[in-house]
Parts: sequence; C-alpha cells; structure tokens
Amino acid sequence: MAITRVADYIHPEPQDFFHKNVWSYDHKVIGKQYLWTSLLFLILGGSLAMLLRWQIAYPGSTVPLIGNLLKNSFFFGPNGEVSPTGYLQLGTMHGLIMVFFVIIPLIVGAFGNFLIPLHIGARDVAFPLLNALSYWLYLPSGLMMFAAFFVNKGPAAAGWTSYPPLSDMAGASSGGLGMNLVLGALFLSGFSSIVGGMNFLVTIVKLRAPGLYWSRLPLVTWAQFITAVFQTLATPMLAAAGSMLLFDRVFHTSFFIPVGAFVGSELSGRAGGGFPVLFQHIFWFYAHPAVYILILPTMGLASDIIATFSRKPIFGYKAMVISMASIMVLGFIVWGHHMFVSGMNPRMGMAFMISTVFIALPSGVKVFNWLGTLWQGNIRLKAPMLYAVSFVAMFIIGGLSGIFMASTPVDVYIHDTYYIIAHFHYVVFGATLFAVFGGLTFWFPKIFGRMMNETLGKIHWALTFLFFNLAFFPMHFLGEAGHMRRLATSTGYEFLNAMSPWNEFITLSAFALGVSQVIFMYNFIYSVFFGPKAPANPWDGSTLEWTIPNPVPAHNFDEIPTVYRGPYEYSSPECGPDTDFIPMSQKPAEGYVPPAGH
Amino acid sequence: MENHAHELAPEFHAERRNLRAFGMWLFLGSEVMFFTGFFGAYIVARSAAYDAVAMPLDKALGALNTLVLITSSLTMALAVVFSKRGDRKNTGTWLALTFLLACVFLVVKSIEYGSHFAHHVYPSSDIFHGFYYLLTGFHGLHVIGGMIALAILWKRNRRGDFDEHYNDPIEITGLYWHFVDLVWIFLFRLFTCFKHQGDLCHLKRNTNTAGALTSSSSTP
Amino acid sequence: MKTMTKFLWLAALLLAAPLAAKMPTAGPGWFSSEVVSSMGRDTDSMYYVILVIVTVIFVLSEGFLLWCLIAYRARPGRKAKFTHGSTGVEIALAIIPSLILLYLTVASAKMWSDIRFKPPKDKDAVHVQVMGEQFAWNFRYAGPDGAFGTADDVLSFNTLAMPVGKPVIFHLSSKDVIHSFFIPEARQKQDAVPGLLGKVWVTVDHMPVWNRETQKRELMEAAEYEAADVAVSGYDFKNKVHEGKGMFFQQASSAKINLLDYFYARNADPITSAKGGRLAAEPKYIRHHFEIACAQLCGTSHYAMRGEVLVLTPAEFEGWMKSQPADSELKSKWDSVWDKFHPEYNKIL
Repeated sequence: MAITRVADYIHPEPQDFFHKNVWSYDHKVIGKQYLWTSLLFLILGGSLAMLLRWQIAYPGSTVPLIGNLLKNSFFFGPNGEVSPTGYLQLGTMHGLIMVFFVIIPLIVGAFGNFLIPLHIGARDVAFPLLNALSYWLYLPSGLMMFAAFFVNKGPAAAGWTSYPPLSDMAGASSGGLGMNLVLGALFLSGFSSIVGGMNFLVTIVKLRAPGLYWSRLPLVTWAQFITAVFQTLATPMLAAAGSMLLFDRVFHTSFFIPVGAFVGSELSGRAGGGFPVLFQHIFWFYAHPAVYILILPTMGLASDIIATFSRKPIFGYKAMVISMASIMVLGFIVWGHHMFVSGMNPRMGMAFMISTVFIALPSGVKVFNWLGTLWQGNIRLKAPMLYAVSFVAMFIIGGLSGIFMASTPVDVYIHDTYYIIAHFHYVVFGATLFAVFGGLTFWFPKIFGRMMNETLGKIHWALTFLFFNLAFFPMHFLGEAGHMRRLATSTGYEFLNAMSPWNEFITLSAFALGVSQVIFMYNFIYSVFFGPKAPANPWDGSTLEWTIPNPVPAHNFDEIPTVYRGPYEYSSPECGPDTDFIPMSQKPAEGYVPPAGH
Repeated sequence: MENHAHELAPEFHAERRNLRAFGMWLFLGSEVMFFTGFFGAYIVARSAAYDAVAMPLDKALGALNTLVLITSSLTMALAVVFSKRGDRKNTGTWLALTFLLACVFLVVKSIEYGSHFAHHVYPSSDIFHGFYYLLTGFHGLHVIGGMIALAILWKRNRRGDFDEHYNDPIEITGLYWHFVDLVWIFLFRLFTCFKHQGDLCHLKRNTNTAGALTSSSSTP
Repeated sequence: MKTMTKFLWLAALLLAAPLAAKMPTAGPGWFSSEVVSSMGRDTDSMYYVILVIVTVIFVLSEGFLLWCLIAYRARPGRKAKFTHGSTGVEIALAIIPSLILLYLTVASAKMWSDIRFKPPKDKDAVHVQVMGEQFAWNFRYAGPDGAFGTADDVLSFNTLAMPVGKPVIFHLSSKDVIHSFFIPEARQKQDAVPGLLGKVWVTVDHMPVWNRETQKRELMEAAEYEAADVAVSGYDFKNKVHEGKGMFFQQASSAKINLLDYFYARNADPITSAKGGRLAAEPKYIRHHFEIACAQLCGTSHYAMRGEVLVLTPAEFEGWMKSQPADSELKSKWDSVWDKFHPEYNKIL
C-alpha cells in the first residue's frame, strides 16, 4: 500500500539513545532540547543581572562571596568590586543572552516546536531534518556566546544594541575577540531562527489536518505563524548589520565610520565615508520586529490558557487574528521610534511617530478581548491561569508606558533612561516570561507526562509577581527623574542623588525576585522525575493535543484527526449537560445544528 | 530522511515537492531581505557622494561573468527538465555543466580580486571598495554554497536516487541557483553604472579627508 | 505539603520584611526636576496629559480584570456564557482608543515640529558648537563676530554658560563615538554623532536657585533674581568635573543634603552676593546649576561624562564670555578635529 499523503508518512522510530535524545528529528525532542538549553541560559542571564544590580545599589563595594575570589578577572576590579568595564559587559551580555538565547529559543524553539504539530494535527513539522539543524545551530552559537566571557578583554561591552563607532573599533573599549565571537554567535543563531521560521511557516500553511481551517486554528498557532513571518523576513537584516559591523572590525572597512573619526586621541586609521546612524536603521529594522517575536507567541499561549480556564471561547477570535496581522504589517514600519534622538531627519521622526502610536491599537484590542474572555466565564484560578492573567495585567502596564515613548517630544526626555528599561522589562519579563511560566505549567503534563505541584506554583507566582513589581515599577520614577541607562554608577551626578534609595530598594527587590525563582526550579525539576503521573487531559482542554494519551507517542496521532469545530468551544450547548467542553476532533452528534451565529 | 521510493505514491512526491518548493521560496525571501540590507546601505552611501565615485572595475570581466551566470541558469533549468523526464544521463551532464560554469565564474572573480590586491586595493581602502568586497564576497559565498549542492546532486543522480516522480532536490536547487544569478545581475549593474571611468593603477586612496568616495581618474 | 507551605510563606515574609524597611519615602529630587524652558513645560504637560489618560485606562482595565476574577470565579453548578464576542463592543473598543491616539498624535506632532523643525531666527541667539569626546564635552561659542572658526571664538571645557531669555542653538557632533547631549532640566536631548551635525535649541527663561530653608529648587524671573539675596561664587567659574573617583564613595542614603555645606565644599572662593559685596549672613538662596549628562553608552567612563550648565543673566554672560581664558590645547583640538575634517559644520543656520 503506497503512501499518498505526506501526513500519513510515519518516520521509523529511532531505537538508540543518540537518535532518540541527541540527533533527533522528532519535534517534541527538539522542543525539549531548546527548553533545557534556554532555561540554563535564563539562569546565566539572571545572574548577570544580579551582579549589575549590586553595583548600582552599592557602587564600588566588594561583591559578596565571589568578589574576592575573582578580583581582577572577568567583571571585577582590584577589590572584588564590579569594574566600570565589567559593568558594561554585564549589561551587554545580560541583554544579548536574554533576547537571543533565552526568550526566542524558549517561546519559538521550545513552545513552537512542541505545540505546532500537535495543534494542527500533524505528525511533525514540514522539514524535520532542518528542524534538528536549527537546534544544532543554536547550541553552538550559545557556546560561542559563552566563550566570549573567557577571552582576553572579555565579551562585548557596547550594549546589546552594539552601536558603532563604539562597537566598531577595538580600541574604543568594547572588547576585542569577545565582540567578534558575539557577532559570530548572532550570525549562527540568526540562521537557526530563519530556518526555523521558514519551517514553521510551511508547516502551518501546508500540514493542517482536514477541517482545520484558518478560522479554527488555535491562537497559539496563529501567533507562531505571525512570529515566523517576522523571523524569516526580519532576521536577515540583523545578519546584514552584523556582517557589516564584522567587516568593519575584521577587514577595517568604514561602513559606519565617518571621515575624521578618532579613537582616543588618534585618528582611527580607517578610510571613512560611512554613517553611524545607518547601522541603527538596519539594526532596528530587525530589532523592532524582534520585540514582536518576543511577545506574540506568548500572547497565543495566554489566549489558550485564559480560554481554557474561563471555560468559554475567546472573545473576538477574528479580531484577535486581525490584530496580530496588523502588528505584523505595522511592525515593519515603526523601527525609527528607537531613533527619535539619533540625529536622523526630524521629518522621518514624524512619520515613525504616527505609525508607532497606531501600533498601540491592535495590542489594546487584544487586551480588551482577554478581558472579555474572563467576563461571564466560569473561572478556575489554577496556577497556569494565575500566570496568564498576570500576563495581561502586566502587559497593560508595559503597553501603556509605551504610549509615552510614542509621543516624540516626551521620548526626547525619557529616551535612554530607566523609563525605557521599565517598559521593556514589563513587557518581556512581566508579560512574556510570566506567560512562559504559565505555559510550562499548563503543557507540562503533555511534555513530561506528569503534573507540576499546584501549591508551589501558586507560591512561586505570588512571590514573583510581588517582587517583580517592586523591582521594576520604581524604574518609571527613576526614568522620570532623568536617570540615564547603562551607568556604572550614578553617584557622579547631583540630580540623581535623591534617587539612590530607590536604586537600593530595586536591588533588594531584584534579589528577592531571583531567590523566588528557586521555587520554580525546584518544582520543575522535581516534577520531571517524581511528579504525579498526568492523565491525558488534566485541564479539560479542547484542542487536539489533549486527545492524545500520555506520554505522547513519537508519531503523535494514531490516525490524523478531522476537525469539526473551533479551538475554544467551551460551554457550548453541543457539550451536553454534564460537561463544559468538547474536543475539536470529536464528531458532532447526528443531526446537531449549531446555534445561530456560531 | 529515508526514502523508500517503492512505498511512496506519486501523489506523495508531488505533495512533498510542493512543500519543499514553498520552503525554498520562503528561504529565498529571507535571502532577498539579507541582500536588501546591503543594497540599501550602498544606496545611502552612494547618494551621499554620487559625483565623487569613479569605477575602477573592468567592465569586460563583469560582463563575461554575467554571461557565464546566465548561461549556468540555462544549464540548470535544462537539468531540471531532464530530471523530470527521468533522464538520468542528461540530468548528470547538465548538472556538471552548471558546476563548471560556476567554476569559471569564480575563476574570473578571483582574477578581478587578484588585480585589486596587486594594486593594494583592499576592503579598507575606501567605502566603495568596502561595499564591493562585501557584496561580491557574500554573493561568492552563495555561489560556493550552490556549487556544494550541485556536487551533491550530481553524486546522488549518478547513484540513481532520482526519477520522474522524485526529483525535488534538483528543482529547488534550481530555484536557489536562479536567485544567485539574479543577485549577480543587480550587483553588476549597481557597480558598473558610474559616470566616470577609472583604473586601479591611478586609484587615489584618501584616508580621513573629506569626500571619502573618491577615486582620481586619469582616463577620459 | 502543609508544613512546606507554611515554611515557604515564612521564607517569603523574611524576604519581604527588609524590603518594607527600605522602601524610600517621597522627597525632593524625585520625579522630574523643575523645568526652565517653555519647550520643557510643553513636554511636561504632554507627559501629564498622557499620564492622566493611561491612569484612567489602567484603573478601568485592571479594575475590570480583578472584578471578573472575583465575580466569575468557578462555583459548582455554574456554567460560563457561551459567546464568541460582540462585534459592536469590539468596534467601540477600537474606535475610542483610536480617537484618543489620534488626539495624542496631533498634539505631539505639533510639539515635535516646534522643537525640531525650525530653529529660532532671533538675531541675538547664541550659537554654540558641542563636540562630545570620550569622556568630556567641548564647547565653542561663535563670539562677537557671529562666526565659527574665527579668532574671537570662546572655548570651554565641560562648562556651558547659557544666558537667560535668549535662545541657545547647539550644533552637535562628536569626535569619536556616539554620545548624547542631555540637559534634564531643559528636557532636551540629542545624540552627538561623529560625521553628522545635529541642531537643537534651548531657551532658558528662569533663573534656577536652591532655597536653603525649604531645601527645594525654585525658579526666579530674571528681575526677581537681580533683587534677591543669591549666593554666587566669585567670578571664578572654573569647571568642577567629577572624575572617575566619584564612583568609589558610598552615597548617603538620605535625600536631605545640607546644600550650603555642599556649596561651600565645592567652592573654595569667597561667597559674594549677586548685587556685589561680601555676604554677611548666610544667604537664603544659592545659585543652582544644571548638569549635562551623556545619555548614550560611549565607553568605559560613560558614567563620568558630566558637564555643567551655568545659567547666567545676560550681563553675567557677557562677562563670562570675555573672561574665558584662551586655551591653546583646546584650540588645537578644535582646529585639528572639527575645523580640519568638517569645515562645513561651521556654517551658521
């Protein structure tokens, strides 16, 4: 019997450890590989932030425990305090690691890989070999990034945004080989992203199960689809900017070095004729879509979780999709709002302000729809729901603070201050990372076949929520006072003196925040090995992954399902009187007629 | 991925070819964005100093390379046609010819680079040559990547992997190859439509003076 | 699990308690400083308008969120309402924010064009070139002949003098990497980019002073200032840059600083009154200067790239311009960097 459909083809299941767990084509294994690697990087990135906060609160004082052990090496000065160069390295690497080696691999590589085929009723992604390749490009790039810490002169120190000429010239105190390693790592991980994005796009377009129309796709999948468009089309711009920067550094070209540029007291020796602001344009053309890559998948995760725990369909599914599509279009034409004070033509600033103000609209629509989903629901406030609801709460704060930046005159004042830091941490930590915690708790039964501890989850949520807000909300005050970013210490400025108690308070909150994460780590690791075995559908979910038994077989579905209804038809009259959900793939009863308007 | 050709119906191959072609188009979309970054930067740099630029590039060699690549696109297309007919022998021949033409392209390019190096014109010499080496360098890398794919295809074809149903790798490599050719055509025009002629021997390199995109010329 | 829960809540309390002790209380210097230009006041009012709007949205949306969690919590026998949404509500909730955003766009656009599109055309505007370098600010005033690059240019290092009531137009660039010229009190900022000439302007319209008794900053009209008892240091406006040393001392966590002690500590010169003559008693007001901050990461000592703005009466400003020493080192810096590579930057307007 010859196989006629790609969906019907079942890969022979590998038998040996190496092909099962290391070089595997199975999207679930690859998803887990991404998960563990990015969680490790999360610990690293978070630790770097703790060192940063120590220096900000107690400038020049010896770092406890490790300061005296590591004096005069890595980030530390002669007394075990964080040195000025070390501070910049910490900040730069914290940003780069969190964006490229934690969030993107976690929400796209881990959640995307694990969930997309299950959500669309497929056995795997379109190109399993390329999928494996994506991970095996990401891991070496992470190792390159890690290696940068150990080379002479240390890792990059020009901010995660790496603006030239500072990042361009080795003599301008921004690292030597370390910066080149970082650029190389970004190149590799960028390639991994592009291939991955392309893979997911083909998968979602071409491999949906019968009956799974676009209008019945779970929002997790829609979000991954839009994200994949950004990944495929925007990431190459990062490669272009990075290549030009690398050429400048290695071959001494002058793409970003103008005529008459100095390094210290001497001329740079470059031919000149380049434009520093050009880098910013190319970089932000990628990096703005990148921030949508950082939030969209978790918007999808939160939608799934909120619908499931409210026991009703998502309010305004169509509007949710249209708003994500608008973000996709608008996301490509707002990059200049990072450059309002860069010296670019003010008329361009005007154009970017208009597009930026309006991109707030689709996000607002989504927030209203999440609230509408809660309204008149039957809300079960379990741990995943707590995380998802606080995602919405903190996305509201982060999004509203963005309005200030969209207004160009106000941005003149708050640009490059802690206001910006508050904004993006609310969106990337308060929103995205909380949704990640929620998603890990929610899909843990499917990924590992066990349940995480509910009580520990609630405690972790409460402490993280409290300390996160205590640490990051005051940064709005700092920004309003004009406190600049990336300052190894603010003690040199009189106008910042009054704010130093806040710096100390924020640091203590950040330490408490860091310590609270131990609860999640313990819960996660303990439950992987010793958690109670999970039933196939512990949350009464209606999407396709909950119809599969635990542990999920290698080929996912014994038979490719046919889909008969939308993804969140909770509390539908079709469910009958005893239950409030009906799986997407359950055949409707004979003669069932859906109510008008559904 | 294992290929049990006797178990997979023609419809399977057709569907999978569809998937792979779609994937390749998306990948080419990302490649367009990659080169767009460079082209955009080049346009910005040139419009800042339009009249100051001269062209110390050999038009003849550039035109030769264009001809070589266009011909290689033709040979590639023929290879695809023959593979769809299941004609193993001709497929192999045309794949090999495509590979050889690509070699010619690289040889001509290295002659050009060689003459630049002989005149001590490097990427760091001025911003025009920075772009020249950047763009032709990455294009060259893409040509080499394509050549590796062609070599693998030629070997697999000899082994008898392809038939009239299963020939996607050749088709999608063809797509990629046409793209590489197209990028070259843009490159060629962008670097050769200059107002002033010039030659490498008389190229004056200005370090840190105003008007960076300069090249003095002594030819009319 | 019960004991574990108790233990964890106790641990949480232990973590949170020191935080409660360390939470700062509101004090002077919080939030943005007094603003001394009309552009700054406009920016602040835009900020507060947005703040009011977002606070209302915040209260309504978060309030609704909390209410839903309580009112619609799961209880046995309840079922959620089966609805896919309401197009009407959707449209309303799209139109209302659009109108608000439209208003914000128009208001901001007008303000933006005022502060960036057209430099002031005043004949008596002061033109200053600003050259950032790692890690200091260089200033060059056009001088009485109104042209840059001539013999009467006034050079200054890290100290910027600005006359009250006159627009000061800054011609910004940098010698090496990107810096950012930021005067917080003026609400003005722009990157100083090598190879690019930026143009921003500030008009300071009040004299800033510290009130010693209330420990608060105050703004005085120029005439008011002339009449008041304000302490100024001699006529020695030598620059007082904080070098990297500033990093290694512990800052007192109290927000109250004895300003006069601070002032005396920073000025070795005799304290005279603005009206002339030595001050017999301690003055009520002390002249307050601004700081220039670098707001763009520019290298290792980015944290120490501080400049000082002296806000002077027009008469004092003339005196300051005349009394600036001719520094040959500074002059050769301007000659060999700015004038040599970018003579086109010397065009006024």
